[in-house]
Amino acid sequence: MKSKLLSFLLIGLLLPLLGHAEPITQEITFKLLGRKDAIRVMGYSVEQSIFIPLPVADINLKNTSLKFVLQCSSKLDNRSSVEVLVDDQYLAEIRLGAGETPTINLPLAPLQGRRVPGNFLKLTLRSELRHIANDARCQLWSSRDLWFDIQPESGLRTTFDNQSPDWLSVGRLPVTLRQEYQVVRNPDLGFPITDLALKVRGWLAFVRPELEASTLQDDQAKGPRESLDMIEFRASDSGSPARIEIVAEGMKRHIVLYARSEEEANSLWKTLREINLLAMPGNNWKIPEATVAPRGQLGSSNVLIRSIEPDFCKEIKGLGTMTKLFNFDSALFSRGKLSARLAMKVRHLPVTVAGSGVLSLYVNDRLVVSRLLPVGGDTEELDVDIPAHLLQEENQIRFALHYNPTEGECRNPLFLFYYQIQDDAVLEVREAGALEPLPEDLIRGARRFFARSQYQVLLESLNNPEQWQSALSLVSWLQKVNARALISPTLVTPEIASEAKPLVLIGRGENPLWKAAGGSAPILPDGNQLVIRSSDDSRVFRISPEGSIGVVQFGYRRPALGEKGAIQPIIAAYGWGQDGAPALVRTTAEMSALGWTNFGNAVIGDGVNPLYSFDNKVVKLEVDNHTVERFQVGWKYWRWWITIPLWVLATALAFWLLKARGKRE
Amino acid sequence: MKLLDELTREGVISTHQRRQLVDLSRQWGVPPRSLIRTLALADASVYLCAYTRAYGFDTIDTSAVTWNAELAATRPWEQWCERQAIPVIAGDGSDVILAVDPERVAAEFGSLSEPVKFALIPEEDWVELVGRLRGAEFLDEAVNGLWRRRPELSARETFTRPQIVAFWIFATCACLALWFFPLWTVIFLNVLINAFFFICVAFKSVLVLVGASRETAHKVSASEVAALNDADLPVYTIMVPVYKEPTVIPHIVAQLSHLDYPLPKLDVLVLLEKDDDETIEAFRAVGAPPNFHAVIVPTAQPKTKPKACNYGLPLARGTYLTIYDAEDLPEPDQLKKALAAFRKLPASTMCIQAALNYFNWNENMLTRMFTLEYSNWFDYNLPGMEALKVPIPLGGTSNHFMTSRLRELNGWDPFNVTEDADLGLRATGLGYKVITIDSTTFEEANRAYGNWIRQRSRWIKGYMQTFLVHARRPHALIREIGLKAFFGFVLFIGGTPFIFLVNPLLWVVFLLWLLTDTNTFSSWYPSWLLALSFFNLLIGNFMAVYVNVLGVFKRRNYGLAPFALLNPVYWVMHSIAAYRGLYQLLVKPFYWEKTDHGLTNVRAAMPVARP
Repeated sequence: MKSKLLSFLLIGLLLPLLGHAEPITQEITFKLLGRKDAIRVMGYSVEQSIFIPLPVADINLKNTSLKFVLQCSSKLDNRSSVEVLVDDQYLAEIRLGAGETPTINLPLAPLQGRRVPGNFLKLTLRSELRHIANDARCQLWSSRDLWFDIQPESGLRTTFDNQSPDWLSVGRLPVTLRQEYQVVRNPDLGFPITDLALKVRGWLAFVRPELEASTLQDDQAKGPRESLDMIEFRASDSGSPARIEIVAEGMKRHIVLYARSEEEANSLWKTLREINLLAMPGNNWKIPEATVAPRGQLGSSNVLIRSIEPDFCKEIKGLGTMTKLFNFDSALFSRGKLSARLAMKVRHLPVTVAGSGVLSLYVNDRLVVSRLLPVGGDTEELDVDIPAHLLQEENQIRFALHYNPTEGECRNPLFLFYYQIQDDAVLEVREAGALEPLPEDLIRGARRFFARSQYQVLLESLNNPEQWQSALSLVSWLQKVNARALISPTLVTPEIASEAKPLVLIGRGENPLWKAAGGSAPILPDGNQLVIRSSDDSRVFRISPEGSIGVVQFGYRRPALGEKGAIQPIIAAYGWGQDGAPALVRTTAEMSALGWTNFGNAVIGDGVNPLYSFDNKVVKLEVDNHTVERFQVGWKYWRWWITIPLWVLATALAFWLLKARGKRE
Repeated sequence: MKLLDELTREGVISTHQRRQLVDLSRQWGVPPRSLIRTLALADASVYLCAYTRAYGFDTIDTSAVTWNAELAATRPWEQWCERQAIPVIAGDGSDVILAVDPERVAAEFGSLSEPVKFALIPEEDWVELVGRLRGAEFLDEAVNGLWRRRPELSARETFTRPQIVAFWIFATCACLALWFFPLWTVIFLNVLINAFFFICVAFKSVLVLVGASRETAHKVSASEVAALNDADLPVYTIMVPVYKEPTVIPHIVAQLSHLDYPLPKLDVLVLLEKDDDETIEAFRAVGAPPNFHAVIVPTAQPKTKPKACNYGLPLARGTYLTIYDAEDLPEPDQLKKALAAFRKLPASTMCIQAALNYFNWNENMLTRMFTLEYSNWFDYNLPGMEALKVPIPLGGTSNHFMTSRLRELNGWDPFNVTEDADLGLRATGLGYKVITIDSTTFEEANRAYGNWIRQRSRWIKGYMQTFLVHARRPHALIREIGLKAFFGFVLFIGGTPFIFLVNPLLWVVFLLWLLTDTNTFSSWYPSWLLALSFFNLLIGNFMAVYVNVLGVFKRRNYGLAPFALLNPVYWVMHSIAAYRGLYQLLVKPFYWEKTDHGLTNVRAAMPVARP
């Protein structure tokens, strides 16, 4: 009895304690974080990142959800969608419709264990917005009609185990994992800006997550500064010239606040706050079914992993690109070194766009294949091998459809363009075997020659679909050898004749034939033959019209007279000969397959032996000497017909002059 | 006076004419007797009879006389010549001095040790007799004089052996380089061509700009001309080489008779070729004053103008000497201006060049372009060269020499078809100066394209000859004329034909590149060389047009300015002529492309008549 009494007393004492430790759920909205206005996401394809500062280093995702309160434009078609990623992990897709105001709750539990702990939550919204169709087929839609707002009531709902954190502290601690930046004050600023600097850091965490703002220090800038970026704000009411500038000082990056007075500083902050982010949907949103269950078991060498969402359609209007992204669970690729094959049946409409479009398939943002769209209407098979080196633990497959209409073309079939992947599409994952030809360190970043963020791909004609295909192959190659740089190829009309070109590659489709010419003295079609020289005179090709070839040149393009800008690296590609176009397609595809890196340098080779390294500009070549010989009708041939007669003529003239001189004497 | 008395007594001249002759003789500073024939107051036979009666000197049979070398050796030939005297051995073996004015000669040569007879010879016959007695000697000297004394300065040998060997070595090296390093060789040659082209164009632009910044090099004012006393004027020799141009003979006599210079002091030598019967006949028929001598040049190679001039040089009596072409229209006071300039300029002045221009400038496009070119040449280029102390290539005519210095220079090079340019260089080499003055001789501009090409090909060939001759001894040339003048010589004499030869090649490359999609030439032109080439193309042509436009201002021929834009076309014609000249340089270097005169339909304005 006594023991029971003691037990009850003990329970009575502990109950209040247990009650005090009860989990606490809190909802923090963007409004509470200082965002008063909605965040508008506008455009056809927009990627918008939002950073939500957190009061603690980690949160329990199991008990956390996102709440989006959205307001959609009345011009949005119901095929519009938004993909939501949290900390770069795919979470869900939201469908949007015209005039909808959905409110969406997205549990973060699926991301549990996949998030890197940090003081902020990074939301990424990849939106694909489409305009509703009408009869005005030739009207170009304004991207201003394509938008949705994320309302300030959107936010984060999470549960804390024991106590409520101090949300007011988040303004001080938003941190990213990127470059370190110091917020320094403008030397001309004659008043304390500690408060402003703190606020700016908080703001930066939202709008420039790649920047890291540490604690405030006085301006310690001493050496020369290089301005990297400038964000200038002019408050609508004050016209303040306040701005922030990102500068490089040696290896350090600084963010400098420019304000000439406290009033201007306040105005800057006011302006910055107005740019703050966030918002959300209404009632009709839906998250698509996450994944289709695997149809087979992983373990054999050919196992069906999953099917792909069937029957999706996209619209493309005029010149442009549309994309569709598929994400795959990491569990499917967790068995070490694997390769994969994507097999599906596809069909596109309308049929009359044959030859004008190109399908590109990317795996983890690396171009794997690109192909011309054939005559539409018929179902065809698309079978793509995905190299193992492109596979990671978590993988994305992206389809990109490029369409380049003929100039002036505006007709009915172009208005809506559908690309359909039938529901029996499969992704096979298999263990990497003998098919893997490339070295293990294949995809290292090429940090030297190709460490440029942007390339121009020069083609003979934008309207030639084969050129598109070649361009995409070239992009693929670039991405292989320069994995870290963001490649954004620009297609421009060719102006290649007058440029210095350090390297020329020639390929002939049927047999693997690669020739390269280093130096600065290349080629172009000249009359009825193609002449390629190298400056060291070791290579001279003169190719007859019968030899259809594809030529790829690397070089630089200088800005035209009166044109500003830096020297731009270029890749010029053109086909030559009767079957030049297909030869170019083959050449670029071959080249795309043969790109790799060696000790950080981009290399072209057969996968084992480098033919050309971009580091030392070695002229090394010829996979097939016998085949190449046919094409070597160059100066070594012509010099017999030019130099010798010239010398004979000069000698004869000299003798004749001597003889004539003797006669006169 | 005895002669005047005799003629008055004979009634050949009136007493009034006698007084006028006496006055005129005082004014011009010549004996009155020398005026009788010059003013056509008596024909030759009357004059000779009167002279014999007055002074006792008779004529002898000149058909039997021979050259008296022994007697001639007693004094320089120039003294005989100046007095129009010639020592001969008469048919009877006696020593005779034949003279146009034996009275004067006897007075001046009276101290001869041996007894010598003086005899009279008509002025018309003196030159012919000298030619007969000494023609072979003069001809040999005319052809070989320079070659014999200064072979290194003669164009008789167009290419020397070292030059030919150097050419062959260069060609062989170029071919070897082309064989092993084709691209670099082409680029290197391209660089050489473009750089030299650029320097030449820049140099010519500088010349013009310097020339434009001055008034014509040396002005001789009207008051300076008026201040010259006719009595003090020396004899002035005018050489007029003529070949196959019988129609211009009357023009020559008319134009030269109207010069503002005492007629008895003009010593006009019309140089005629022996095989040119037509012109010789025309001269005899025209009835020229006795001081207009027909010098018949024996037929011999090379048949060039400088050879004819050389032949006439020993016969020149003047202290000064100038050359006019048959169709020339010198400003009447030009001789006096030249004389005034000689007197006020430094003693080292050996030649004075008058400007040339065209009276038929507006006849057609070619004459307009020619006029633009000459205006630029004589009004800007030559003054610019003079200012920069660059050797002046003389113009073909209207160059006034001190005769003694011309002889010192061995006359003209008979093998050089631009003997005038060569002479300018040789004069500079001896430290003499060539000066330009503000007097103009109007010529007939070529109005026929074929004729123009022939003339221009000769000029350009001559520049090539001159360059080859003086480039044989660069060190000596630098020592003689200085480094700056040497560069001027290379750029001007060498650069001119070079530009015309290279220009069409560059145009062909440019047009092929422009009109076709070829990239053949891309590798030949690295970006920096491409920039230089475009600079040459744009600025070179612009400067050529610009300097031609400048040419119209000095003479206020503003209507010619638009034609300057046709300069690129004019250059094409130059290039055609240059290649023709190059061909002739190789196969017939001394061939004189004759320029036909008298083709114009424009009647030249007559110069102001002499008082």
